[in-house]
Amino acid sequence: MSGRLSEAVIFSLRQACRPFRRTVSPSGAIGAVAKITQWRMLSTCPILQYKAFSKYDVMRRHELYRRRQEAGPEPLRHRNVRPNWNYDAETFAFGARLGENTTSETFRLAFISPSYTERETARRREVFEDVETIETTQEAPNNTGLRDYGSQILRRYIAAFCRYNFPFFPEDGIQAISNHMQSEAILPNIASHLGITDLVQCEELPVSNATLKDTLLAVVGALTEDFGRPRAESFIRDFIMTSLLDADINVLLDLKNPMEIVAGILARDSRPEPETRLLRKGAVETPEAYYCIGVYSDKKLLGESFGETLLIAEEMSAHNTLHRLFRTAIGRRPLLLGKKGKEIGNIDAYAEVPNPWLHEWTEKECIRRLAARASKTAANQQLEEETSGQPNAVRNP
Amino acid sequence: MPGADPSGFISAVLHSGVGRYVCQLQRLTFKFCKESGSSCGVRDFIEHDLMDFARTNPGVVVYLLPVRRDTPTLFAEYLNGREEHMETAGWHREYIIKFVEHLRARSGNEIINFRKYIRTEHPSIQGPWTPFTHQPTEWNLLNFPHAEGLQPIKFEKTATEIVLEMARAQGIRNIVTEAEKLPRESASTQGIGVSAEGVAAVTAGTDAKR
Repeated sequence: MSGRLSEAVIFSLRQACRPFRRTVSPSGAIGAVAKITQWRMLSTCPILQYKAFSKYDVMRRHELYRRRQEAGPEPLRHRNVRPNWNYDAETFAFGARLGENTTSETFRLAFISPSYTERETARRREVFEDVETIETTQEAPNNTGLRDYGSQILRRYIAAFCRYNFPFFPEDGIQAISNHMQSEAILPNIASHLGITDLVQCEELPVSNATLKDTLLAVVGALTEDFGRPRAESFIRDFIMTSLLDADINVLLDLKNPMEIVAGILARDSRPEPETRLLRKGAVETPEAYYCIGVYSDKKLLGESFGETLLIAEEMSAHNTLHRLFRTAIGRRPLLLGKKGKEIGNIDAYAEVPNPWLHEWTEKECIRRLAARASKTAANQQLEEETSGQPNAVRNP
Repeated sequence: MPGADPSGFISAVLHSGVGRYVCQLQRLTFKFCKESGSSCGVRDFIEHDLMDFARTNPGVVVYLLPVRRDTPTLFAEYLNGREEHMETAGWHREYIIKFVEHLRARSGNEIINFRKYIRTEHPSIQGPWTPFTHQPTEWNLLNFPHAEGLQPIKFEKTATEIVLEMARAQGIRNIVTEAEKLPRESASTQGIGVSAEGVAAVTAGTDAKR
């Protein structure tokens, strides 16, 4: 983040640039367009004569430049020190921009980080040193509770979303995706792009990644508390799960010795062990050699891939076999996001029933768990219909 | 390359539009003078259009900053942390409407020269191309080099063939060609003599005279 120049420095720099102001456009291309229009408007006037540089101008500019260098960069200051700042308007706009209503007290609390309350409490203790007021003895509220709540909601939804989209992906991979999505590589970036950086009340400047992440989680928690879980889940899907588009899930599930895993899966399914066959080769004597290897079991092709050596090609083909088994090869169905994301209805069933882990993975087990989730969803729906007296779809179209 | 125009690829901030669309403009500040002529257009805009703008864009916080005798300026702050400013001295109301809309619709990224108008993170859903991609499956059982594989795919009638046909049509029998050098002609030219000279030739009438 670049620092803002102080008013005095801006004034002096402007004075220095005054002879340029008609010729140099400060805002690039747009400024240039504006300038041309000004020229058109002024076209009835005689052409303006610009002042040339005097040697004193040059000297003054040199001097100002030297002073600026001596003064060093401006310190970073919070956005709220500028005159155009209204916290209430900003919180309202924050919600309006995301399509949520965030003007309640819950959201005000969600933006208060523990470091801010600590500083405030210490400051009040100093001011009211000998007076033991109720305010100073009370525990100042902060967003830790909402953060934990939001974190729980987020973890649950990410797991359910991934299991719905990749029902054949091992649970190891689902956990890897979940950890990746909750890491500091993803959440602070989202938080800052939603405008949380300026709204969060904390002590440090620039705002740390940990604070940004916690505040985003607290916003999720506040949404759940105010509007219920479906609304918060919709928020997570629209703003957080979209970052999964950038990640390669096959890389997140980092597999060593893929051929051993293929052999294990086939053994558990009581199928013959895998055989590799060289399908094609070309340009063997050149640096761009090409070997294509297929993995077979019981004369059926499970996967094929290529590489520049036989060893690499074998490993790649084993990886390709796993991708085909897990239904995560390229060309798979795209993630259900946006309007289509609303299809993911049975979050509870997907959150409670995990995918099989890698060491117990079989295709039949995956299918069995899909059926278990479907029956669980049906049971839940029936229960809801019985309690409410009308089908779920009518109440929440 | 230093000094070159910034260039890059088209991108959406935070996949905006995949989930919900988020207007990337978060703050708009009008700095203007209440008296000077150069701020006249800004004052007109504030009087007639600003309320509509604020109503239709609740996600943008609008600030009015009256200052005395200073250049009227538009400051736009975007969600990615960048700021844009435009000096609006002497602009009339329509012009300000146009550029406020321009600032509202921008992503906030720096204006760059697009190297391409499309971009994708997944260039293929079929996998990388290899020399063996889309190879005919009947080739799996052939032994190479295969004679049929060496032939050109399509023939057109050569001038020699046309002349030979015309000669045959006229009932000339003593046509001399070199069948061995033209294997594809061997079927059609059976029974025709082979010349020792090599080049296919039609010696119409000469043998008959002899």
